[in-house]
Amino acid sequence: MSEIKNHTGNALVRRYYDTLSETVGRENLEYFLNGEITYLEDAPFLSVIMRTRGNRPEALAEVLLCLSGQSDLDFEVLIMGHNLDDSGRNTVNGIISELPDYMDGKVRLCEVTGGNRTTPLNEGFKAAKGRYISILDDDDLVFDNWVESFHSLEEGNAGKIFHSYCAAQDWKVSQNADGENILTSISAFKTMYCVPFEMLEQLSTNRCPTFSLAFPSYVYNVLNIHFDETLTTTEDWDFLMRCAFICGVADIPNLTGVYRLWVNAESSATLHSRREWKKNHTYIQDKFKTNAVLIPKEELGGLMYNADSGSQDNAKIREVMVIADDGTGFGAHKPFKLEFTCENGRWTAKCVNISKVKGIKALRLDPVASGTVTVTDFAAKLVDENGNDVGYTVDKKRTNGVFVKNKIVFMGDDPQIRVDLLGQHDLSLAEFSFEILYDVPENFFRFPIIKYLFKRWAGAVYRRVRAVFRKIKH
Amino acid sequence: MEKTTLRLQTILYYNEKENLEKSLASVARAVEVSRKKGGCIERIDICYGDASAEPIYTDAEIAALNQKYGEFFHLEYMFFGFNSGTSRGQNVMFKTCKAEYLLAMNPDVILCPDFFIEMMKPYRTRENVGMVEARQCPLEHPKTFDPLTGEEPWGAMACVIIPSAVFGKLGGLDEKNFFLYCDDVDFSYRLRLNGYKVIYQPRAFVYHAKRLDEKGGVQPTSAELYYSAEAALLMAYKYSDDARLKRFLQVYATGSEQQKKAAEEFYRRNKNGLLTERLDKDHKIAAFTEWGYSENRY
Repeated sequence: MSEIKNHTGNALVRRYYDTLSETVGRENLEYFLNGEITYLEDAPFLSVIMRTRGNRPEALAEVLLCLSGQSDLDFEVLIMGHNLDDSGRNTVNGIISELPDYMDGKVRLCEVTGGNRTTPLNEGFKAAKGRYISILDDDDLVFDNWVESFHSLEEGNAGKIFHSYCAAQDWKVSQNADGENILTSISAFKTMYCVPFEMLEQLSTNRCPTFSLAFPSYVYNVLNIHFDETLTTTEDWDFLMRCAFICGVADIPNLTGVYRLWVNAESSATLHSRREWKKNHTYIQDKFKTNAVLIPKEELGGLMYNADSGSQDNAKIREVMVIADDGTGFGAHKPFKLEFTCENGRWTAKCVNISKVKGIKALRLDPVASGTVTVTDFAAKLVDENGNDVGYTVDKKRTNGVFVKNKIVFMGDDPQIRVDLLGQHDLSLAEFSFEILYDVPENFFRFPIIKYLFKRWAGAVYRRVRAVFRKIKH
Repeated sequence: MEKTTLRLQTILYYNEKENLEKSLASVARAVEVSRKKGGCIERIDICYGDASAEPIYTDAEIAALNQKYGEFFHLEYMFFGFNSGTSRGQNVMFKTCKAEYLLAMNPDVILCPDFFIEMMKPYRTRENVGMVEARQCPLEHPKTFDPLTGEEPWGAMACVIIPSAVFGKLGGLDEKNFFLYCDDVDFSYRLRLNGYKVIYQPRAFVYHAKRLDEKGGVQPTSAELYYSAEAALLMAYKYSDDARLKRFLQVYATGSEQQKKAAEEFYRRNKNGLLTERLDKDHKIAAFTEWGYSENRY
């Protein structure tokens, strides 16, 4: 018998284990795999890390008010004051001292001097006592279920990263007649972050604002996974993925907060050049390539194609949403549960319990939460309670994509196809069939792009004229 | 600065005590901050009107809250013994209001520390102010407003301050027409018909907990759908918009159960002569849009 030394050294699992050992240290990895993690007796469930430079006191006071309103108060807040001057320090301390009495002792200022915007995150994770840690920026807003949602995941998912949904919204800073700053929301909620965590999608782009995540604190303390301080942007994406490769992610589809996109104020988007963002993006993806990645079983279906049946269990198809308008607007009813089938690449989405909504005037199909998508040969089958087919038209004005022959191409946020019924009906069946491509056909970038831009501009003009007309009318 | 008096009035309806006490703690802190920074509010009265079927609080619990926060406010507790809705409840409590200003708010609202300082500013700097509305967070209302002056078409009574004299002069909220919804829109429109301004004060922000579905939509209860549908008809009637009323009645005739019921109630009131006086006949104040009560920013 002959023996080949280290014959299994190149096997995938061994390579994975060895790579992890190199990354986090063999001893740490063994300790981690042993699964016994200890916490301080008075450890709260969640440590909230909040970076501030003390220069946006209105927003800081507001996010702390949001924390005062949490239904679950099992948390501590570490305000990481970065390079604060006396004025900034006094501002932050003043805001902390004015919180309601039940917040006493929960919020503390930790000052950090030097380094870049990533440094306070490492310092915050080091000082945190909680079993979980989340990063909440000093201008975010959270609903009262933010802590509660993460906490509810602990039973049954302890050790994973927790992920919830959040909305994005445009805000602006302006001045009132007295020259005081006022903060105002200027857009409806955008739902591109209201999607489950998908490991493969996340390798290309980050769809998880920091506060939509809570990390088990052992990743920092036991596995020594720290924020990469060479990064000046997207350090959170890099950290998230390095942790997710090891811990996995548990989702809870609760909307827990609002990520504010400032249209006229300083933010990381304005502080760093496009070139810098791109450089960091490439650097992070290069790091991903050095790791093997475990693919969660939930995502495997999306990768497989069955040549015999032609069916593809595409995970993204689950983002399709259909809602009804019975004359009170699309906001009045929940989206229908959908049943999907696929034949030769053509999808059918059937609404479950369509008969629950009476007197339907219109239906809206959102093909994807956000991003570029092309819908081909879109058709609907609508049947009323007496078994009669119901006629419909696709409303080209209120469908926010561009019609190119048999295709509808969407390039903006929140794509929507609006189907107007001929009359108002109680439906017994509503199903939509279409082909879907999460991309744009090549020829779209010739003439239709001009049409698309014109349509967006014309839409804005139309809304303005309508508003003026209404004012005149009344 | 000249000091003034204020009474906070709120309707309780099966609320969790834990949430109410968070709100009270924030009120105490806001009074303390106002006092410390020389604001015009130094101590306030609070009136809780409980419209639940059973009292939420015992006398001993109210006494304990007064003991804890007595330096900042006095809390009075009224158990109505009936479901008053918001408008009737506010009017009942107002009968015993002796303060110069009335703060009407939802019971679980948490105030920012500078709340009284910011909310009282428009009363010092502007003429004919009839209502000042705080900014709700994390979900701001999208109504249009003038960013310079703060003037807006109507104020949401989740949290507003109104001079008591003005509230009394206008006869309080319209409890005959509006049980749960639109009492604030109606009151704002009446303020403006009487020459008063409604001011939005975004610098005074308050936490008003809301739960949305996973796509950011609001999921109203059946009762909320009914009362909002009923209020929409009564608003269209009261503010003399016959075209709007006709359109709503047409939609409701084949609409949801709540809409059909709301239309029936409207016809019943009409038949029995229960509809109230019509206002704003030349359409100068009511800022109706297709479904709403003002133009929105988005």
